[in-house]
Amino acid sequence: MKRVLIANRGEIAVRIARGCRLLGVESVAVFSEADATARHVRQADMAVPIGPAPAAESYLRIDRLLEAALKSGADAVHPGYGFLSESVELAEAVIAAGLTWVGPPPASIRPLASKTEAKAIARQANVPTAPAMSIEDDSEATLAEAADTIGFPLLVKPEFGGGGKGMQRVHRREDLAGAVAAARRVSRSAFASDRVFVERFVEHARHVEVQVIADTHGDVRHVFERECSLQRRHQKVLEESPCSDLSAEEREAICASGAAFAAGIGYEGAGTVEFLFDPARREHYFLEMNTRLQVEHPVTECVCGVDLVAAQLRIARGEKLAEIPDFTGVSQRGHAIEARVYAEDPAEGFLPQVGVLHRCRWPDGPFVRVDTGYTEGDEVGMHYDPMLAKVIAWGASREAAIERLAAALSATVIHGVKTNVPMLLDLLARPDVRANAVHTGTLDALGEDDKANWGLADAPDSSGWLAVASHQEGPASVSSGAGEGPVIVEPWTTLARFRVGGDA
Amino acid sequence: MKKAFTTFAGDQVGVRREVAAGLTTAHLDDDAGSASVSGELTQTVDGTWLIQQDGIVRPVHMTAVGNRVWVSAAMATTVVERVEKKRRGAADTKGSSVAAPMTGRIVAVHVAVGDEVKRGQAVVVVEAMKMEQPLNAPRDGIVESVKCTVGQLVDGGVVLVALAKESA
Repeated sequence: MKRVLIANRGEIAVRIARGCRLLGVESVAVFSEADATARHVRQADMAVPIGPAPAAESYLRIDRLLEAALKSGADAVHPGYGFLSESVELAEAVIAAGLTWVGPPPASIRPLASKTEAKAIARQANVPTAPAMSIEDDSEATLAEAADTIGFPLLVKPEFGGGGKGMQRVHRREDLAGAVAAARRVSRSAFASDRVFVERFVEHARHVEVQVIADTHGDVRHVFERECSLQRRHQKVLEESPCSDLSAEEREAICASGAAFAAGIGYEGAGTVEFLFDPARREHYFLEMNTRLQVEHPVTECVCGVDLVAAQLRIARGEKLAEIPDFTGVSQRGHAIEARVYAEDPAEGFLPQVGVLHRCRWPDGPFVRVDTGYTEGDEVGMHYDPMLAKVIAWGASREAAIERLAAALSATVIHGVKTNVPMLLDLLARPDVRANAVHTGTLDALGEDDKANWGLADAPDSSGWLAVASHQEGPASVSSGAGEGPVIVEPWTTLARFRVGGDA
Repeated sequence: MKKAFTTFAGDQVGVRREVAAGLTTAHLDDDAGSASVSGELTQTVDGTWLIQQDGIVRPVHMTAVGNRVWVSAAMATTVVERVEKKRRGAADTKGSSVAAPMTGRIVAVHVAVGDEVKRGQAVVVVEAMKMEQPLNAPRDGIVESVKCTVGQLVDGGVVLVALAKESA
C-alpha cells in the first residue's frame, strides 16, 4: 500500500490523511466543485476533482471515485464515515478494480442490511437482543402471547422498515391491536410488506457502543465502550468513554458481546457494535453494527491510547493486531469526551447555517484535540453536513474531562456563522449531565426554559465596549446618492438584548 | 472628533462616539439611562482588539460582515447590528436598497444598472436553507447599482441592489 484515495471530505478526510502520513503512505483527496480549496484538499498529498457540489454527483458517485483512484495511481481506498462508507457496491467495485478496500469484506456486512437477520446473527453469537416476537396474525391469542412475552411498554415495528417509520410505542394492552393494525398499514404502503414485530421498549435507555477491531488473520478484539446517550433526534451531541454507569462486570459483558458479534460475521477492520443499556434491568441489547469508522472514534483513541485510523490501514495491508504495539494490553485510562460543533442555530430550531468563517479560532491546550475540516476563511456550504469540528478533551476523571472540554469550547471563536457552542456549554454545565443522569430521551424532553441560553449571548458586562468597537472597526460613513457627491451617513447600531447600565 | 448616533427598535441604545488623542469615548443612552465609557483601542496583528481601560486590557474578537459585527468577549459571542441612516436634513434613502436577509447564495439577478423597477418587483433571488427567496424592490425607481452576481455567496445584511434617489 503506497497511495490511499480518501473517498470523503471534511474533518474525517483530514484525519485519514494524517493517518496515512504517519505510516509513510501518500494520500489522495477527492473534491467536489464546492470543495476545490477545502482543508482536506490542502492537507492531502494530491487531490482529484470528482464533479459538481451536490454529493449525489460527486462524493456518492462510485464511478468517479474509481476513476479518481486509477488516475492518481492509488492502490487503496478509505471511505471514511457517511457517504459510501457502508456501501457494499463501492467495496465490491474497489476490490474488482484490484485495489485494497480499507474496510470490512463485503460478504461480512451484507447480512446486516436486514434487521431481523442481524438479530438472528446476534442470537447465534450469544449476544443479547431485546425480547421480540413476530406478529404473524392479528388473532386475540397471538396478541395476548406477545403482550405476555414482551410486557409493556413495547414497540411495534415494521420488519423491513427503517427511519422509525410506522414504529409505535404501546403502553397498554388495550392499545396493542390498534397499533399493530396501524403499523401494518404504514408498512404495506411504505415498505411493501405488512410484516410487523413487537419488541421491548427500554425506558431511559443508555446508548452504549463497543469499538471492535479485527485483523485479516482471525484476531477479533474489542477496544472498550463509548457512551452516546445525549442525542438530539438520534443525532449524537456529546460522546464519551468510558460509560461511567457500568460496573466492571457489566462493562466486560457488553464489550465481550461486541467482540462476539464481530467474530460472528467474520468482520475485519474497525467497526462499532451498538447496544441499548437498560439501567433498570442492568441488561444490554444488541441494536446494530456500524461497519465503518465512527465520528466519535477519538474518545476511544484518547482513553485507550490507540490510533484507529492507522490500525485500519495496517490491517488492510495484512498486518496482525498482535504486531501493532497500540493493541498490546489495551486498557482504559481516565475519561474522554467529545462535542460536535455544528454550524446551526440551536435557538432557531437547529437551522443549518451557511457562510464564510470570517474568524475561526479553535482551542488547544493540554489534552485537548480538535478534528476539523475548516480553518479561518473557509466557506461552510449548503451541500454537506454542517459539522465544523469535533472538540475532544481528556481528563483523569469524567469531571476533569468535562471541565477541560467546557474551557476549550468557551475559548472557541467562530464569526460568520452561528454555531451550537452556546448549547454545548449549557449542556456541559447541567447537573444531570455532570452526574451522567441522562438517557437517549433527555435532550428531546427539554423545555423552552432549558434552551434559554442556546443562542447568541447577551452582550457581556463590558458591553459598552462592544458599541465603541463596532463603530471603530466598521466604516464610519458610506457614500450614497448620485449627483450630489458623497453623503455622510451616520452609523446606527443595534445591540441585541443590550442594556445600558451595569458595567457600562 | 467623530460623532455617531445610534438608536434602534426594541432595546434601543444610542451610541455617540468620540475619538481624541488616542482615547475613544462612547456615550450610551437608552430608556433605562445613560453612561459613558472610554479607553484605548488597539488592533493586533491577528485581528484581535485590545481595549484598555484604567490600566486593564481586555481582548475582544471582532469581525465586521456587512452591517453585522460579530463580537466575542468574556467567553461569549454576540452579534451587533448596525443600521445605517442618513444625516438629518439629507434626502431620505430609507427603502432605497435591497439587502440579503440572511446568508445565502444568489441564484438569479433580474435587473441591471439603469433598469426601471416597480415596487414589489423581484430584483434578486437568493437561496438559503435550500429555499429560494425572491427579494423585491422597496419602491418604484431606477437601479443605480447591482452589487452581486449569480452564484455568489453573500452574507446577511449586505446590500445587493441599490436604487437611485427618488426624483423630486
